[in-house]
Amino acid sequence: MKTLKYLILLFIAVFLGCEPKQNIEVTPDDYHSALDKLTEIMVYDIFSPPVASRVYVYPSIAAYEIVVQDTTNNYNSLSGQIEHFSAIPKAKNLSEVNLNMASVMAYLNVGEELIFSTQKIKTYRDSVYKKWSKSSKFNSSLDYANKVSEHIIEWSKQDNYAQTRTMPKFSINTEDPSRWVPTPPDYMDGIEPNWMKMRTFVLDSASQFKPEKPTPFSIEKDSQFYKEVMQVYNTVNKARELGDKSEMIEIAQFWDCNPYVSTHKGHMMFATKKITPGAHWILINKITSQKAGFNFAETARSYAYLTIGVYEAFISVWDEKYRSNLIRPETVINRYIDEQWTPILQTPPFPEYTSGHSVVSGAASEVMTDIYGDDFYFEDTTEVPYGLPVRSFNSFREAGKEAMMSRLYGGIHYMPANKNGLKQGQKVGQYVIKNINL
Amino acid sequence: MLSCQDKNTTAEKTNSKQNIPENPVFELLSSQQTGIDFVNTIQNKEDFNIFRYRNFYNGGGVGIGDINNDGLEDIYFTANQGQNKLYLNKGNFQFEDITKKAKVAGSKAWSTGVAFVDINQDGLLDIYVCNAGNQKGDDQKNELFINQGDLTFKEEAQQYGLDESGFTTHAAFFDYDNDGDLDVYILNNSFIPVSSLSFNNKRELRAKDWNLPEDVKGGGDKLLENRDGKFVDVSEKAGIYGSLIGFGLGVTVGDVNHDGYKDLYISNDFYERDYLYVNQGNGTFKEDIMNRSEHTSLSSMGADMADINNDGHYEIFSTDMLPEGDARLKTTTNFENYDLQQLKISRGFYNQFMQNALQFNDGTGHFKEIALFSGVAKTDWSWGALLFDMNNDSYKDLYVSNGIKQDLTNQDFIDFFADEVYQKMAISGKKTAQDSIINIMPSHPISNYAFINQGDLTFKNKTYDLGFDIKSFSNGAAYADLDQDGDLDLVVNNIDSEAFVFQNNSEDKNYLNLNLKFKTPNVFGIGTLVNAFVDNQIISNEVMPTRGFQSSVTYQLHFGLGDKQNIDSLHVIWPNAKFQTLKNIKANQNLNVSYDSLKTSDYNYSKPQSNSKLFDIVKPEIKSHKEDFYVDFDHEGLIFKMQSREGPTISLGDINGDGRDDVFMGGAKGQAAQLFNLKGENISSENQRLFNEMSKYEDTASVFADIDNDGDLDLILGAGGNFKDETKQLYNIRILKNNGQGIFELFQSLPNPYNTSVIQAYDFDQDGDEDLFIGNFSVPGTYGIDPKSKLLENDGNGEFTDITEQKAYDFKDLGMVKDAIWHDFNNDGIDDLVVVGEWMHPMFFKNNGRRLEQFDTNLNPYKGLFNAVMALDLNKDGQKELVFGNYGQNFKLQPSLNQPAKLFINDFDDNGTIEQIITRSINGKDKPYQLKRELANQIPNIKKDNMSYKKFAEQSIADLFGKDKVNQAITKELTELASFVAFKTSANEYNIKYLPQEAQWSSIHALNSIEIDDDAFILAAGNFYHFKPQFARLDASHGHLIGFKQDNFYLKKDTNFKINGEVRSLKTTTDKNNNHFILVGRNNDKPLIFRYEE
Repeated sequence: MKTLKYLILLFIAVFLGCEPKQNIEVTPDDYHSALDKLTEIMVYDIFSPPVASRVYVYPSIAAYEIVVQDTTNNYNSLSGQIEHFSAIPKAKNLSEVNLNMASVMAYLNVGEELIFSTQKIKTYRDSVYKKWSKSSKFNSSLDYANKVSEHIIEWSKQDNYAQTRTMPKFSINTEDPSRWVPTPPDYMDGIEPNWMKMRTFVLDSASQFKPEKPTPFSIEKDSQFYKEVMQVYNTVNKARELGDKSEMIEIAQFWDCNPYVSTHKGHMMFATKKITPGAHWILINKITSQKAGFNFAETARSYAYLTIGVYEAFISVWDEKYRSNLIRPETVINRYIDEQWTPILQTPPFPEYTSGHSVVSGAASEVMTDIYGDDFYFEDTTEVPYGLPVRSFNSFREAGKEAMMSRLYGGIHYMPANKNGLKQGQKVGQYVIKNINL
Repeated sequence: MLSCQDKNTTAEKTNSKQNIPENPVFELLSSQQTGIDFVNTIQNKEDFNIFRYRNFYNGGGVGIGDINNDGLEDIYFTANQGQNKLYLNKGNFQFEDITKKAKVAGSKAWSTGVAFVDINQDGLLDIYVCNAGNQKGDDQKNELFINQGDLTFKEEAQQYGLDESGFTTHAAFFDYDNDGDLDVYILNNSFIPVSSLSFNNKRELRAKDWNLPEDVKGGGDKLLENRDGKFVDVSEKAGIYGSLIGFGLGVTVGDVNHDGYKDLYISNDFYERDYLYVNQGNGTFKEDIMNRSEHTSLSSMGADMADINNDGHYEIFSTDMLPEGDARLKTTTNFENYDLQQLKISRGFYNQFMQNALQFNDGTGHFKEIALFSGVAKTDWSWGALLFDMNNDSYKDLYVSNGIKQDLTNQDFIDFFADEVYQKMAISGKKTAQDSIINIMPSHPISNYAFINQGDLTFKNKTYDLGFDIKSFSNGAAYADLDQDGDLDLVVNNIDSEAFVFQNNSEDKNYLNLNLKFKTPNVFGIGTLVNAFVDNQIISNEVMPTRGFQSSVTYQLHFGLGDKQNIDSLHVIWPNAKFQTLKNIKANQNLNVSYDSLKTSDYNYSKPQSNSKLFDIVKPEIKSHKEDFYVDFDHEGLIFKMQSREGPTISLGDINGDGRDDVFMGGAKGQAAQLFNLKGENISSENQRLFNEMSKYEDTASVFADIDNDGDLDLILGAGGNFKDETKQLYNIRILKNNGQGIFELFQSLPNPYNTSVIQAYDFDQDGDEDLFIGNFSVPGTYGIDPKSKLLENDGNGEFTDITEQKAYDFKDLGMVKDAIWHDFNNDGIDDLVVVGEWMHPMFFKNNGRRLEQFDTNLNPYKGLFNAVMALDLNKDGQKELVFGNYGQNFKLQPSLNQPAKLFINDFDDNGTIEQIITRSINGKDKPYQLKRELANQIPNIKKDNMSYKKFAEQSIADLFGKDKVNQAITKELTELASFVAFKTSANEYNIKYLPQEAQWSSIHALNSIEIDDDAFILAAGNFYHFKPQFARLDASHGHLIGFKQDNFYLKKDTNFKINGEVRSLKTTTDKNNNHFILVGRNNDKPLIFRYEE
């Protein structure tokens, strides 16, 4: 008996006191899983699409810049490519650092800074670190990740985000019939009316890819604008006729990507929340990078590349939105054609032209085509957690086009906002491809 | 003084279900004792719940009436899902459930309102039950149980044409056309989803004309005329709206303008504004609320109409859902944003605000909303309101039943809880109905409210003392003297708990119970008005059983008489406009009065006397002052009011030397200043080019003065507005010289990059020329930062130099100045300066002829939102009093010395711009007044670790931003919002006397004085509309003439001095013929001239 007791004690001492350090491999799945956690918190915390693009991009850059430190990857740092971005600190003892681990650590650190429900990220990190702390490189990796995170966070603070909070909100001018006004059911203020004042990474200005002007507003029956309004009206009516299972409605809902859809029942109200357009593409990258068999560094690179494209696209489209300040189809139709009409999707709270999702899809599909090639079949399961089906695509551009059309089917955009938006986004994407070399 | 009482409110004590003192006035009797075990049990069903039915938690009603004429009143409860019940009063608060044998349980799925009425005029009360609910297989037709005289009833609604099948909330029987019989107003509440209406105004579209399936229409409101016992729909011809947008929750009947015809107040839930139907006396109504009330409650539920100040005129009280306590407010409330409110106003939905409304009747059937002043604005999610005398002191008190089974507007549910369930459903693939999220909606029973009338139009919350602090979901309620002991008992219908039966144990108070009997076809005398004259008071009661929410109160009239043993005289005004007088009625009895035509005479419903035409009123033939579209809130997200709506400034002076005063009125931005004479004729000359050239200035201050001693009046203009990005020159002080013919030329333009509020000229250094005080209110675009006010010295030729630093150094402590006067407060023969403004106490500057020095007085603790100051010798003692025009006491903020409101200004988020955070003092902590969304819009990082509304609600400003940020902030305070007069008692001491009540119902922005028949009167006027919706509007002032006699203020009311709108300036003058003139400058409107001939 005694001996057994002794043996057990010894056993415990060996395991707890002198636990052997392990060599822990940090895989792309660890990155994906951190991304999923960040996404989940972003949905919970309710970030509007432009702000969400900001929350994604800084952690992704932090993670990427760390893998760049592994010279065998042959990747280029963004410092020197993004004018205002200075190189991250070097690791003192690079050999002691697990760069993949530090990369995910920095991703979580920077993410934590940008979201609100920090406890959720802390809890997640604790569970991951519990496993990683067994690694002999854990402490050095964490030190390094902290240093890099600090550097990135400092840099993020200079992007005008804080300043744009107190800038003027969108002013309703009731005398201009073409001017955007808040839409049912929430009549929320126009969101992010100063997003064009955000610092860009590569675009020379928010207006660099200013699209052509929207069709001049007119409610004359033979005007081009009226025809475009009627196209939305008729398309939605047709889709309704065909029912919920019709392809048009399925496409509309699949690409809805509205982070805050509210339901009103009398005095009762509640929101259902989903990922944003940018998040949809970023999560597609999770699927495709896995399918392509990317290693950790390739994964980190693809996310950084894509999130920069998405971030730039939002600045570009928001610039146009609050330049043209165009009224939404729902308002025009309710005012002049059919006061009972509602779109299939809830009209998002900002001006119509150009379509945010189209611009972002244009930019994202170009960047992803650059990463994976034009002919890349994938099954998009991104929206499954939100109760939507799987859709498959033969290429990113095909997906981008479908996302663009979803805005017409959803009844929230006229066609020029979609077409010109997609073009605008493609230009942004191509410019990003041309001007940064990851 | 009213003070901001936001301590442990009844709604927020959650530790115990009951909190009752020993021997409460109202004793809750147990069901064992009474036999009343009625519970309105509500159960969610898969196809029927709050999702499917908007009014699922609206609850049932209570009807009280003596069905067997035994002198004991019986009680009927409506149930939503269960059976309605009738309890027979056996005396001594013992009741018997006779529902079954009486056959009155009802056969419909969902009962709502109840009305007791003798429909067949057999002297027995019948029971009319309203039904709604839209359930399959149910026609929700209303039921009429005809009393058979043997405690049994027969349902005969159809025979009478009363089987209305709409979704009825309630019904009121009354005689609308004075033909002697009882007609009925049926209040229906449609099924149409509110969000599908997109704020379209379809008021004129009657229910039948809506292109919708019949089963969602719900009827639209209806007025049915009694034609020989059959009820016929006359709504359209009578002018009653029957649209589906009227989500009616209350119908209240009474004669608001005392013309002998019954008027109607219809309270409509959210969306549609309330209706006030004024009976035209010809079988039609005119919906006239926009002309008779400045604003109403938003989600109006139940209401009541009664005289709360014993002057013989009915006030109207309507309930809403504004919580009293800070935590409950922050977790369950979201105010409409400004743009949406403007959209609704532009579509004809009028000024609706989330708060109970107490509409004070000015004696003519016009109303001023004073719920905040009276202390009854916030009672959480409220249903029933009953005005009755709880303590027999002759004044009607207020009972409000409230509670919602689940907090439909819980903000955490909206943003987080609901979605979590959705996510789980999506992940698990289980597409159960959205109904399952119902279960996670928070549920908080809350205490009803009871307020005791203080006899001065204010009420005190006495919920606890009276014994009403019991947590519940209460809906309909009704009162009656159930034990005939001389006080009114109360019965309340609750969801999911036993109905309350409260026995009133008031002692030592006198009363009179009056049983009336009129004649067929209105035997019970609905509409009979009884006025009891006791001393100088009129205690009015009317037989009108339909009251409160879905309920029907006693037919017996109850008069509390306080310590009076005797009623001098009792006027019984029968529905046929005959009245009889009973003299010297002894208190403490049940008196039966039957109509006897021999004892009556004609009652003369004289129209309210139109006020004496003391003044001739002239609207000058000039352009209206017109503000532009600028919305300050778009540029400063956290401010509570606009700074850009301050003009017009008006100045008086004889500019052309013709011996008559002319009037200068400044223009708003983009508008030229104008000149007119006292007849109202436009005298702007074409040669006056300068005014056009300066139209880009928003004129907010002006003064005439002969600055160059050439014998003509020159003009000094100050500019204002709140445009941050404006070129600074557009705020310059402009010195205009008169060429002798009344044409002005620009002489000097002095930089002054501020929103200027006042310019006052005075030869402060006694060197023979007019110097200037320039009072500045704000730094454009940055509310809360103090601008610099200035002293300008005249070189004798009209050239001014800023000498503030040298001669008025103490101006550095001047804050946001709104008004100033030169006034010799130390009687040394030289005028000193008194300055007032926002977030500051009155500031005194002593002038020794060389410099101005700040002078402390005992008024320093009085920090207000002062707009105006005036000196006037009211008591004719040779010493002028100081009159201070403040925001008044009918405002959302109700600070006091102990519980100040504060304004913290700092760059809380380090982004280079300032934020303004308003707090209220709650339990010694400064809690932000701004709700989470509003604050987070500007400062997203407050969400860090405060993501839930519940958590946010716990945070003080120091919790949110840290002590350092708060300590470094510029801090301003409010301790007093009442307007008052300061009587000087010593060198630096004043006695304060508050202006009369009515002058506290709104803000005072301009002051002046006038002598009428040798009596001096204070002229005071104001109002301010441009708040964020959570601050409602200050709109209850029509201008006041305030006299002073025997040490007391009094209001001169019998005149036609009545001003609509927002007054910004009041000037007076007297011409050679001793005609007195009052010039009134109104924001965004034309000025007015009141002329009074002595």
